[in-house]
Amino acid sequence: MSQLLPFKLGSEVYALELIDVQEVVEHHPTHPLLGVSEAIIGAIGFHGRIVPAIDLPLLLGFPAGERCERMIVLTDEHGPVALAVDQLLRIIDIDLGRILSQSNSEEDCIRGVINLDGKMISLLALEQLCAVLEQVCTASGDTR
Amino acid sequence: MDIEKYRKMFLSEAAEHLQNMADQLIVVEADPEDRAGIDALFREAHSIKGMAATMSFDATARLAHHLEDRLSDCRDQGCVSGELIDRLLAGVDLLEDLLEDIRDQQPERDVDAFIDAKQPIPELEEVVVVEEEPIAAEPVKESLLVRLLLADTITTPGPRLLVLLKHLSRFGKILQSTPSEEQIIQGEVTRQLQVRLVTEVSAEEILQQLQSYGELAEVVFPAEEPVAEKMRKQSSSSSATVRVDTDLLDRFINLTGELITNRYTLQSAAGEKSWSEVNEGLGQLARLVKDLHHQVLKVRMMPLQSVTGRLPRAVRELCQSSGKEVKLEVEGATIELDRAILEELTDPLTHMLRNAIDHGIEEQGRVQIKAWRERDQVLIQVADDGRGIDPEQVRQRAVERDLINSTQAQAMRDYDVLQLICQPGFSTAEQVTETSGRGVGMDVVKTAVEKLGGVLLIDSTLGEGARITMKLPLSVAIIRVLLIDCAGSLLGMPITRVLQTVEVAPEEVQTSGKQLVISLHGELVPLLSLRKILQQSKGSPKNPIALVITEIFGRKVGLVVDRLLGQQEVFVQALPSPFDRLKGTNGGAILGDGRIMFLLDLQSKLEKRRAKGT
Amino acid sequence: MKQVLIVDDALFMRNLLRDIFEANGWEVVAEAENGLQALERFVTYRPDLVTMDIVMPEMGGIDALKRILEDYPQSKIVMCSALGQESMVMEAINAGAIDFIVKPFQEKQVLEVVGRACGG
Repeated sequence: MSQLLPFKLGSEVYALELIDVQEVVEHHPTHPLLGVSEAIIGAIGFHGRIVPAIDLPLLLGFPAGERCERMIVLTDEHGPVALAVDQLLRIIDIDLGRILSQSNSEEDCIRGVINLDGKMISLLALEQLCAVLEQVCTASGDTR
Repeated sequence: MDIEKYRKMFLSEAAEHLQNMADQLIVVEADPEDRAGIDALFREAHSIKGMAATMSFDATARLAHHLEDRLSDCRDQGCVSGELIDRLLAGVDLLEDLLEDIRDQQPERDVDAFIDAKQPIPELEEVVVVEEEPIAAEPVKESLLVRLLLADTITTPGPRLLVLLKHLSRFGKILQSTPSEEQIIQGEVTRQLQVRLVTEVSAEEILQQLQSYGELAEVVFPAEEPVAEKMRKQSSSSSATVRVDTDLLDRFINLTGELITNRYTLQSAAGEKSWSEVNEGLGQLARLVKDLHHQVLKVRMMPLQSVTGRLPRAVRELCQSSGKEVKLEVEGATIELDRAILEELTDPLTHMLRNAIDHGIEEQGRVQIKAWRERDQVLIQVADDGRGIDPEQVRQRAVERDLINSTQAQAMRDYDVLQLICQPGFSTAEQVTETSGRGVGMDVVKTAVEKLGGVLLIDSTLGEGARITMKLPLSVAIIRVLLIDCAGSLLGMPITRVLQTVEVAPEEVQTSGKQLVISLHGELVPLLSLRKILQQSKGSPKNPIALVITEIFGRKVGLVVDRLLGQQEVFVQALPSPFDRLKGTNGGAILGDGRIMFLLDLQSKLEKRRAKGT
Repeated sequence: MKQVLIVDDALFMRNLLRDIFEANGWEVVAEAENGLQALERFVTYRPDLVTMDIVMPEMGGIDALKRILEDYPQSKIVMCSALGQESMVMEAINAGAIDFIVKPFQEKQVLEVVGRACGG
């Protein structure tokens, strides 16, 4: 059994494995960084460290908007990076053997889909997400 | 006797013998009656034994001796069993670990368990977490792994985990705990505890007792060890190491102790709402933090000597190739700088030295490298007594190369003109002229210095020589910055990069062609809008207009910002991945009030644009 | 009936704990307002369990705990802590406190901890 932290991006439900989450922070002011991709909000101060804050919906192609006040901070292995999402949902226990389809697409950052009582939950592929972020950052600042 | 030297020799030689043994064992495995192979193995083990005994590495010598004995038996029998091959390979592995210990100047690990074991012993447990005492000798089978996960509702995970750890310790002996007791007490925040336990008590019984803890969400007895695995991954990716004087470490420990005491003082003062004591405690805290900061910086400091020490040889070679006679004098080599800065100084210094010898000094002369401290900056000057740089020739060449127009050339002071030799494109290696050729590669030097938050200044008196001075911050970590507000974002610029800040009225802004300029001390300075560079909307017109006068690619520019917010000393952090790839910022700092400031790196931001433009 | 000594400088807290204990079959043999009183009353009554507040005048809970355990190492002492006192709680656990409860007290949590402490 694994624990998943589900959250909403637009009207879709995504999830991360709880072991990849370092902390969920609430009401952390974000400090803007300008002249970079819009998916990069800026940074938050996280236990004395500067941690990149990412607008996950924007990064994955969802429309711009106000995000939820809580952000998910990934473990140091993946940055650390703070992800803004539209809404955090309750942690669920799930058997990872129940992943329905293994995604083949390189682009969408989805590892697979889980069917939870008829609701479809996309499991984020963190390695891909990090790679996409690196691309975005490398490209940022190249004048358009 | 230089024991260190012999230790290194021993290590590299022993490693070679071990490699030979490992290779040879594979050969012998394929042909167990290979007489010559067995002989070779015996000799290798024998050599290691002899060397280790000479160096008094007892465990290594004993193990090598043990392997030698077994091989001697094989020689008598004329063959090696497959079982023994396995054992010998395990022995080679263990010897490799021992060499690791010796290399790290650690006590050698235990070999008796291996030597005494009759059978090829089960695989030794990997010691992955650095604990006080390695527990390699404990076979895995007898220990039990327990992982506990606290319920989300628990508000005091630290004390709760500590109670659980104490409870578990009543079942038997705790070999390893992640986090360790120490880490828990130090306030490491986690909701999970993993313990390796040697116990007579069964897992079922432990589970039953732990079920009385409603605070636990989960109790599992995992077969493998994912947490430790993760930690090993992290530790293997650790980068550069630093040797630290043990005295310095002791001071860290003492300071930590004082900080802990201070914490309790503050805590109880706050608890009793005794503000005078809180104030006193805070004063103490300020002193301790300052001291700690000072000591931490010390760890990173190295004398300039580590760079200048290589220069006499370079000078000798340059003299030989040029046929000139040059004397090198170094002054202030004991001045200490952050190692990150020193590492970046080797190339620029060598370059400046070469320029001085190749282009400054005619037949014979003197190059002087002088370092000294001025407040929180270190100045390093390379001076020669050669012919000097002729500002008129520099003017001419700069105009020729379209760096300035002739009107500008006439208006500029000699000193400002000299700085032009650092402009890219001022001079190239193929077009060295006798006097103005001094600029070879100076743009590279200047860029390197500026990357470190420093400045490069050129000064020369014709006929008397040239002085090139690098002004460097002491440390890359703590620097003084000018805080700038731009479209609601907080930015900082190292003070060493700021020539001047000015506020001008809108009517002072003139146009020169398409370019907005202002006149500063009679010099026309082009204006750049920070908002525009950062792709922001224009913003409401300001009066007065705040300007930061700085240099970009060697050119003086006025940077238009929304607001100047004053200066502050900040602790700069490198930005974590993936922000380290961003152009336009090369660090950040968290200010006292919690706001995050990004260090502005205009050159990297404009590099691409400029490459297109030229 | 198990006997308990309640140590807390706040009357409110003592009453609260007393109610919880008495409603669940415990006998509150004594109360103490500070560490010194706690030592005295512990020696007099030798209760099965002590609930010990941490920050108190005269003598704090951690010192009282250490003094009691010096003479009676088998004593079962549960610390009462407020949020933000984690490091003091851990000091107490290291010094031999068997467990702790967190203010504001919840009956269920208190009973679970003291029940476990007294092995039942």
